[in-house]
Amino acid sequence: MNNKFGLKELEKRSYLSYYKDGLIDLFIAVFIIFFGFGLMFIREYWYILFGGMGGVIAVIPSILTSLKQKITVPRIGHVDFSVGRKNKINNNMIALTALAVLSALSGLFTFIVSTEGIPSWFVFALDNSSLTFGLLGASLFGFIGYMYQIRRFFFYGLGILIILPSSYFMQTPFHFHIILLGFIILLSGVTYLSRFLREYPKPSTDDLETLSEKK
Amino acid sequence: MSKEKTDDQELLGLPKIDKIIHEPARLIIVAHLYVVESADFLFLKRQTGMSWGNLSTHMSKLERVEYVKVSKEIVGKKISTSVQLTDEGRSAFEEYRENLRKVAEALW
Repeated sequence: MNNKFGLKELEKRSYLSYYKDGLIDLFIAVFIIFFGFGLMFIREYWYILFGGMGGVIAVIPSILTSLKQKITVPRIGHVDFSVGRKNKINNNMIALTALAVLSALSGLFTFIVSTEGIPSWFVFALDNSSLTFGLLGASLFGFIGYMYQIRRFFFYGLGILIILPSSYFMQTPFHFHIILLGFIILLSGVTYLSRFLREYPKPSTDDLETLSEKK
Repeated sequence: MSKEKTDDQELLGLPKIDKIIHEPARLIIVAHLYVVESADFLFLKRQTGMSWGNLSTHMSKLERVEYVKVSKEIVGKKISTSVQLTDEGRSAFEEYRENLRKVAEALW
């Protein structure tokens, strides 16, 4: 039994119940897997990858919202959060948009350096891409985990910190480690989703109508 | 008998505890509604773990004393019943928390 009955904890639990579905994990996993395969086949065109990433990040929130309306809300119910929580959610959207823009700008930057000449710090980052991506990825997931208050994202970040740089030490292709990471997160997302669907079956229309009539 | 109890409370200087909210099931419903703007029955059922019947019974009691407002709206093609605390309900809950805190302090 949960002994925490503070109002803050209650509000947080209400908010986090919307993330028990694992949908965001699935999206991120698919994104990472596609990035891994992208690296495998179009490695020399980094800027296309980064630019594409920016576009995908921009589109994810609307697709995710739509899926939540179809899968999550009919099972969990609908809630109108407090003004404070809504402001936090809006700030998260702004941060995600900034991330998408940053990613697109990274694409532009890599395109420019590929034609104009590469600065030495960038060469170093590219030569040690597994370490660079490991650090960036871990930071990103930590940031998302903090923004959305989803604890399992910190574990994903830790996983990134272990799996990606290990390609440097094991001398194995980097894209394999990215794809492996994607599949691990995919497995986690599928586990969360199946548990969610089992724990929160859709109520029958009769139940809801009978309840409405009793009022 | 209730007058004796009230006298005892006054003797002890204990603040009055709102018995409507003090019932554990209603307390948990009101607490959940306090931290959000509004929620539908399904959400409250999921968060509180109560059965439909139990939830409906306690919701009726809260509605009778005008602590909650129940409204129906059409979302898509379905009727959605949403519940929110009234201003009176919010004040009553805040007063309840304050009084409970005072009682706990007095008894400590």
